[in-house]
Amino acid sequence: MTHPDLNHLVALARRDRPAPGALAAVARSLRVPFVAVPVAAIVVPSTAVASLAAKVGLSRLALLGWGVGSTAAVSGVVVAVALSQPAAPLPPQPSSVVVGARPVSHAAPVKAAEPVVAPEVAPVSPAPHVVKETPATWDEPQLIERARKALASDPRRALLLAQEHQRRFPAGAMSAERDVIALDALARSGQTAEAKRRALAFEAKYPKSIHLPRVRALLARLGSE
Amino acid sequence: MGPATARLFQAHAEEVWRFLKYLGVREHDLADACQEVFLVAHRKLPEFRGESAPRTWLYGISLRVAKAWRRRRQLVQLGDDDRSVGPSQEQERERRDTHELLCWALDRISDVQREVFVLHEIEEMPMVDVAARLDCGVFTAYSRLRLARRGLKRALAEKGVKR
Repeated sequence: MTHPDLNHLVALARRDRPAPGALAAVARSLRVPFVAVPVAAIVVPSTAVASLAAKVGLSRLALLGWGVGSTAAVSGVVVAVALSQPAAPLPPQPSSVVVGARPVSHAAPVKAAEPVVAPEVAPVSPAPHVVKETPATWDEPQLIERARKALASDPRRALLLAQEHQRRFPAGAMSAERDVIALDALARSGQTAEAKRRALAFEAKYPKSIHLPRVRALLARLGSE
Repeated sequence: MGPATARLFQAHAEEVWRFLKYLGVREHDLADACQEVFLVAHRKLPEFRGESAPRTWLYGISLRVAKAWRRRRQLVQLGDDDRSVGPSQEQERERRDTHELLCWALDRISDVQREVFVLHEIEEMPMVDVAARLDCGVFTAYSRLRLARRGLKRALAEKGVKR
């Protein structure tokens, strides 16, 4: 038997995921709700992985089942599949506020789906080329991460995302991070007075925060402007 | 567990699972190791600096957890013989064979090379971030990556010859 080369093994490893139910068991031990990617955007590469799959004896179905990569970044056909998992509480429901939604080819849970009963991998018809994903469906870490990423390139969007976080997770575990992003975004978009006011409020509200050095540096910079 | 930990788990459990696996945690230990990562994350959440992405932060925890599991494994001297599967699960066996071939090869390079390789090649983290995460210079990280690839190719060639 000839073994596939290293690059092919890496391509498969990127799409490796736990067996159905394995994470649900961990979630039960941790006492957290868990829905195993009810609907996921999967990018099926048209060449490399598929041809390797044929080589090593994996069917396309197996690839679909196991191939949900979190950082799918190759070109190919995006299909939505329903993956089987024990029914569990659903992720936050979509809200009415949608902030500058952009289609993203990312294999995070994209919308609440009906719990799937039978273990199956079924294409949703018609297969969309891009799966819609909106800030209203992102969870708390996702919202914060995207807001943080938007800071440098698009502070207004960062601010809108921070506001979305405030609306959906007013007492979230990442509230301090949200406040820092919001005041930083305000400063970057020229709303200096409001940024200063919020920075001072942050100092008072979180006297022991690890974000304080960043907030103070920002205050110093604003003060000198 | 609070709602923040629950959301972290929902968003990143699969990635953490895969990361731990290719860092050398054995299949039958993955559930425990994964649980350990999120228990640590839950405890450390108040210290989480939003400067890095949650995923990168979890990978930092996972690196330490995986290292401990590798050490435990060496102590009890578990071999590669704990991965047999039933003959009826042909497709499952082939999938595991393919993934485990890489795990087998990864077991044959040093831990520091393995960490760079898994972070950069499998988890697709930029090298600058890999170097920061592993607390080494970018040049060193690239050097480890080159050595890792060389070692893995050598191991795979050896496997190919054997079978």
